[in-house]
Amino acid sequence: MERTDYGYCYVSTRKTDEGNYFRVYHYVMPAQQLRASIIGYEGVRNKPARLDGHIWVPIDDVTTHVYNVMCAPHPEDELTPQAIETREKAAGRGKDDSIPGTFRLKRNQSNDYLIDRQMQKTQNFTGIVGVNTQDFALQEGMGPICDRSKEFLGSSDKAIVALRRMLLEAVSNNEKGGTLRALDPATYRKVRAYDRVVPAGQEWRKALEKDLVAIW
Amino acid sequence: MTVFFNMLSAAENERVTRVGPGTPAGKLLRRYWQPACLSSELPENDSAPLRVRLLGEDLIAFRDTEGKVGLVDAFCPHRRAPLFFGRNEECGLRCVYHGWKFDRAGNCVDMPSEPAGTTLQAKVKLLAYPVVERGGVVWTYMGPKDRIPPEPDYEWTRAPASHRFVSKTFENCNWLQGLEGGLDTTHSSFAHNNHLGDNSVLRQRDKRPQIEVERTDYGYYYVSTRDMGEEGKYVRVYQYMMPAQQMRAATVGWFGGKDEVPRMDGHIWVPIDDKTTHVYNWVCAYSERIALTPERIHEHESRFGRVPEDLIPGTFRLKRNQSNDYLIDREMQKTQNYTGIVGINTQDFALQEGMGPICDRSKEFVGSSDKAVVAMRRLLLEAIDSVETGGDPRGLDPSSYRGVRPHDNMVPPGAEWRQTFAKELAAKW
Repeated sequence: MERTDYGYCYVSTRKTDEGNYFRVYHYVMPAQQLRASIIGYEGVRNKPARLDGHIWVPIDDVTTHVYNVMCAPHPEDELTPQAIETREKAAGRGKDDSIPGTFRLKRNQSNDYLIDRQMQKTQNFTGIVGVNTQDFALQEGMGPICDRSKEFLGSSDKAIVALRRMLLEAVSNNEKGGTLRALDPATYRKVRAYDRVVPAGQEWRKALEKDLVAIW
Repeated sequence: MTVFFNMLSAAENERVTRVGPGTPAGKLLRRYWQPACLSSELPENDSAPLRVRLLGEDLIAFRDTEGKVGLVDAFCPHRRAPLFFGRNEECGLRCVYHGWKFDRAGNCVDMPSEPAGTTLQAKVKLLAYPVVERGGVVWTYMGPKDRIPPEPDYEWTRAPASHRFVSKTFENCNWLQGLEGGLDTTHSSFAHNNHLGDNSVLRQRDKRPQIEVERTDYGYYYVSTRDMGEEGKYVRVYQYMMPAQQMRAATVGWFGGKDEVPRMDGHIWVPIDDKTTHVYNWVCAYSERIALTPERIHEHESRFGRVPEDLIPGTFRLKRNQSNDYLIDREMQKTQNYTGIVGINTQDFALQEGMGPICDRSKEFVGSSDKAVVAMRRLLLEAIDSVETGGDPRGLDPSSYRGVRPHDNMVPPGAEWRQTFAKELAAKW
């Protein structure tokens, strides 16, 4: 976790047989996440590799539009319409996944996201199809505004806690007429996310140094 | 005719109806074991978790690998993700957000997203209420831990499954409106007159029953007496078991004579929240001799308006409901029955839900036929006061009610019901 002029950068480290699997995320204030999907779930390079992200934009206090960003990290990773549809479908928002004429998922709160308990026992953790549909089930299921006063946070929540702190600091700053992070594009325009398995013993900052610089 | 009783003030009405945590009636109801769901809603070990909303609290019920039921907060204590989507596996419910797992007592038994040996695991508790299964019902206790009463032991819960049946229906109003209807025999001469023009129906022969209420350690029993002329009296003894259970008997048929399936019927009105209720409807054979076969149960439930075909599939809501005026048929109302609505308890729902979510009792004019209703409200208000000052309400101790059953029968001219019924009011299961 490292604070920056645009928000923060955080690195998750998972030990694997081939070395450390580093994922470098960025939080760009106020509500954008940048992450990389260079390596797929099975450990091989995605075709195409991708930089992914979301921006969470409040419609009002109790509803949100999520903008889902996808960007090729390298010129050779072309995002063909087919590659885009494959990816969007995996996320749960392929062409047939929305209620026609809306941005609402067919798998939604009103039908418990079509959870399949048999699938949950044998195929995936949630029994719900679509990576972001799984997220919606958990996030919408907290209620319209989650009561955070009832939480028990652990060390896995470090990045969440840091985000809340930054927001609260910025809110205070703003009230006092101060300046905010990530207003100036110079702070974030050269920044990108990346993920890679690095042989044990190597430091992520060094190993990923070149990967973390924007090329577009 | 004088008006015997005062209506409730607006403040008393609030006090006796609201059920959320910390409310006066909420505190009273939390001193008792309450039905949380039917056992059949959790059909198998490790089956899907079930949403339960009870007394305004959102909970999740699950039957674990050992077949025991847990009833826990609907939200993971970590970051409040919904446990409904959780994995019910290996004796616990696992949140699918970060994999934290809890047993039915609410202990955190696995915290795979945290470093091994984390001290957080011992600190985190999921709210869990004690649970017991009796009579096909999952009961829970949501009150103070040091005041937990012995497990529920109503007579019908001891009858074998062949002689007992429980169903559940959703009612779109405050629980007290339902309970009041259950302790009001007089309305059955009107609202449940399903044979217009046929004066042989016992309850049509006298529409002004006399009502006596006798307080007991579990609540009260009340006796309604209808004058049947030379044949004597038609007497019904109802039981009110605090806080919200009614028991009545049907050994006499609608037209007099022995009922083909002598039985005891009852309801428990269980608040989902302030404005909605689950009604648990139980039937219990009066004796071992005549069992409740599936055909008999179907016939009974059909008369009351709640066989599976009457319900919106996958719910406990009636197809005949508030949104369609219970499919009232005005022609039927002119020629066949008093309400134009099919189903005895559907008739009740029309009247009770139609009062609005919480009836404004400060506007009532109550009469002598409302004696049992008024007595029940008094008992509830007294019990609320008692709980607030640290006392115990009636009906906590099963010894106060376990031997009690309702009865109804003809009492010959000159005889006194107490003598005629002497052996009948004692539980036989």
